[in-house]
Amino acid sequence: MGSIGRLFSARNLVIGTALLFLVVFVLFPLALLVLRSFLGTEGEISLQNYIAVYGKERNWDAVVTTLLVCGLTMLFSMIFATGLAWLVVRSNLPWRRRFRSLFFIPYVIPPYVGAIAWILLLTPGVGYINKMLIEYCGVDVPGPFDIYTIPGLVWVMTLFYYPLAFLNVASALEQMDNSLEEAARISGAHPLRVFWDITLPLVSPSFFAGGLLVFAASASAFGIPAMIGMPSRIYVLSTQVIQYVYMGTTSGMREATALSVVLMVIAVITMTLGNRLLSRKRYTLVGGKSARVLPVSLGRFRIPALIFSGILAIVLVILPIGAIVVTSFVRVFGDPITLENLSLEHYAYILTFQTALEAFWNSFFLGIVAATLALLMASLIAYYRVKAKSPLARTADLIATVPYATPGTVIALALIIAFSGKYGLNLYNTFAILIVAYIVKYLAFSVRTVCASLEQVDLSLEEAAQISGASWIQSFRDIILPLVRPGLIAAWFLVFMTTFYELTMTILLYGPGTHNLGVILFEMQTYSNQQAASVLSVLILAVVLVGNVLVSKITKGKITI
Amino acid sequence: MKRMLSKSAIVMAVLFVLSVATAGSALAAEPANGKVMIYTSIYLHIIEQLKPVLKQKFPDLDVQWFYGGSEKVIAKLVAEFDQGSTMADLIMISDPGYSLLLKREGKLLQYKSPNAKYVLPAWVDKDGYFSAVRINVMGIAYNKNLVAAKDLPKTWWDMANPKWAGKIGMPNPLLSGTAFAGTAGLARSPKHGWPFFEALRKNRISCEPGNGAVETKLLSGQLVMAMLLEENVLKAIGEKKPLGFVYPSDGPVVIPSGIAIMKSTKNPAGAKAIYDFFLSKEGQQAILAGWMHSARTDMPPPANAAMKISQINKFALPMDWEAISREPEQVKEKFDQTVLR
Repeated sequence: MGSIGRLFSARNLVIGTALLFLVVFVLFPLALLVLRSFLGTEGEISLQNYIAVYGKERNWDAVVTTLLVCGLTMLFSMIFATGLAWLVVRSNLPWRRRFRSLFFIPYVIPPYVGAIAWILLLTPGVGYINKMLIEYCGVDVPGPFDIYTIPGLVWVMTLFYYPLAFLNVASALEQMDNSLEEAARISGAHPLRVFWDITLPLVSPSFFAGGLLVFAASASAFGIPAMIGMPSRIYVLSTQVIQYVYMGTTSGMREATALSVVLMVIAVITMTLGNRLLSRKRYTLVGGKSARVLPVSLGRFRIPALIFSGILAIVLVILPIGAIVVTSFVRVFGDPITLENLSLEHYAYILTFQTALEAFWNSFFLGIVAATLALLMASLIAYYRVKAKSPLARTADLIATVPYATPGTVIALALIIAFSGKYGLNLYNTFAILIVAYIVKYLAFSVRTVCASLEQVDLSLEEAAQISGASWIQSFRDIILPLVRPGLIAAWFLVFMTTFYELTMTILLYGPGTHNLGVILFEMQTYSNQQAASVLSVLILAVVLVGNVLVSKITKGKITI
Repeated sequence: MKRMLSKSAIVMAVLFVLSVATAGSALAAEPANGKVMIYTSIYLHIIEQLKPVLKQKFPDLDVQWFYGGSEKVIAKLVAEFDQGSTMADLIMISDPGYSLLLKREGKLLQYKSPNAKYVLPAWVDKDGYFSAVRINVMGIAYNKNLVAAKDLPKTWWDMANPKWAGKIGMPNPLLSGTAFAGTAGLARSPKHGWPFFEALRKNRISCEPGNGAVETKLLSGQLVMAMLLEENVLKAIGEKKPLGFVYPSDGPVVIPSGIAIMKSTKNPAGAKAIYDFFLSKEGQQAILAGWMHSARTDMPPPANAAMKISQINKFALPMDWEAISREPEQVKEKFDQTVLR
């Protein structure tokens, strides 16, 4: 009994540390932010910031546009993701494993790189696709597509955020007990009917949860709406917040805070709803360990489905990456792409550009440190949450969800307010503030990934080890760790890749010498030259694509969230 | 004749001794070492060129940079002031109104650089709180392949010609310091004012986040002409890209972008050394290499420039920086309502 008492106190100590971290770096800054939004010019409690912000029509417009754009993105993503997930998980589509990794790729492409790519492709008159249609299909100038519109914005957002829904639905389909489907099929139901009546209701929690994830992610997106929306006067909440910050005045900052709080509330509500739905999933889906999943035959639709998937892969992956790669080799942007107009000069320029090289190392450093620390903390929380069912761990998990749902812009603002020295701790302008930002933002994501792989480990194995006299650390190291290693590696890479090119928070938090690739790329894109930006994009893509291949090798094509 | 010679020789000798003495005393008094943090909106490629020069010139001085668009640097400064103090020792940002604002708020260190006497007096703060270090010129850039010689714009108002509807652009003054200066100047000008911006809005002007984005869209042909910094065009011409530049006859915007030392600096000697360097001929060479006009009157114009800054000054748009520095919010707000909506 005494040993158990010690054991629990050791556990509580560890989990308590994680909890303390979350209280200090999540609850405190966010609470401060909310509090500050209610402070008036004289430091009194008042609603004046909200009155100032919502007295302006353009902020209402931004709220409406955000709901519209994100709502549409959510809707299309859900439809798109469910169809694709079913094809690659349950059907007998040829090369479905390969397609599965291909359909996941947009997730690891930085959204702002995606935005640049689609701007290159679909700009009226000069986008590669429009140009081709004008030249070869006799379409009238400026061509049929215009990226700088709400449909253009929704299109790009859907392409880059649907993987969140795709992952959810795909893993639900995978874990689903398919005996129900089989029963229906044996009773003579048409495959489409089986899908509609059995499969869809069973995966519906994941379907809706995935949709809400897409909604939350697109509401907090900055890169895509900044590059596509702002030039064409389409404003969403996240770009509006940045405009207030850049007003460069104290009142601008206060109004940004008030606007942020609303954005945060929208995002947290959506995420909480999503989590509710997902927790229902746990008893709808009976573990399908014994049942082998049999693929559903597509019949005569097999070849059309293959062609469809092929075209999608081209649109999702090859076109945008191709556009960026081509642009990075073009000597004079805007001139026709001929052999004389191709060169490596922009590569030479970037590879000897000291600031860009510094940014590369900073990105690697930040990514590695943030991913490692996040994984460490996430493993602890996940372990106690899944295996020990510790209420402390559940609280930690709950707290971690808040920043995951909160837009990066808002987190960055909160961290600036809290850790610039006014309250004892000064992290401003350091690498530490960036690392903290990355950890709090992506911790929930790591926890979820690790939880998923821990849930597959049988508790009896660990018990056996402990009965045989192993300490909990020993059993953790020798039993649990080897079993969940692929999940851990996947979790590490996913955090590493997203922080490697992070822009939304870094653009507000970077200081002298702490600029990362995202910042330099954004600066080059907006202030100097397109091709140098494309070269950087290509280099970033190379890193994340290699990372992606590694992840799918390690996890055998199954990345679970 | 002989006497004349000896006289001038004496003058020369005195001058020489004096200059050696001042240089010597400056060196002996405070050698530049430690760390100097510069917050700037100067282009990345110029900083890149400056790094080795500064390293060689001040081997014991650790010069660090924080780079971002003007408004981003200002936002960072505001956030830092709000929290207590800033890490910046030296600032070089393009919005001259902001230097005035910082001076009024008592945030700047008074420093009369020996090199300031080479700068046009109108561009140096009379109390010695800041000086111009580079001169940006805002005019109209156009794509040579898309605008015929007979159609070239002559005045700012030509951008409002319906012929170019949907094909004109400018950098967003909410995000770019030079664009803000240009907007504020044109908005206060009796010949332009907000009606000019209303006309641009009617002509469906596109507002890009920065000068570089405008340049990219001009090159790609999405825009045919745009309000843009001369330096972007001069650089593009140097790279054989098809851009041209017009100084509008109703007043190009001349922006004396400043350099100033923060009062809170912990290394005034180092900051002053850098300040002097930037106003020296060598420092100004870097400005010319960055395709901008020098603040010094004894330097040539940047390569490819069609006019010297003294010529441009003759018909430049009158700018009341003091007035502009007192109403940045109103201008941004009004621009937001007039053009960005």
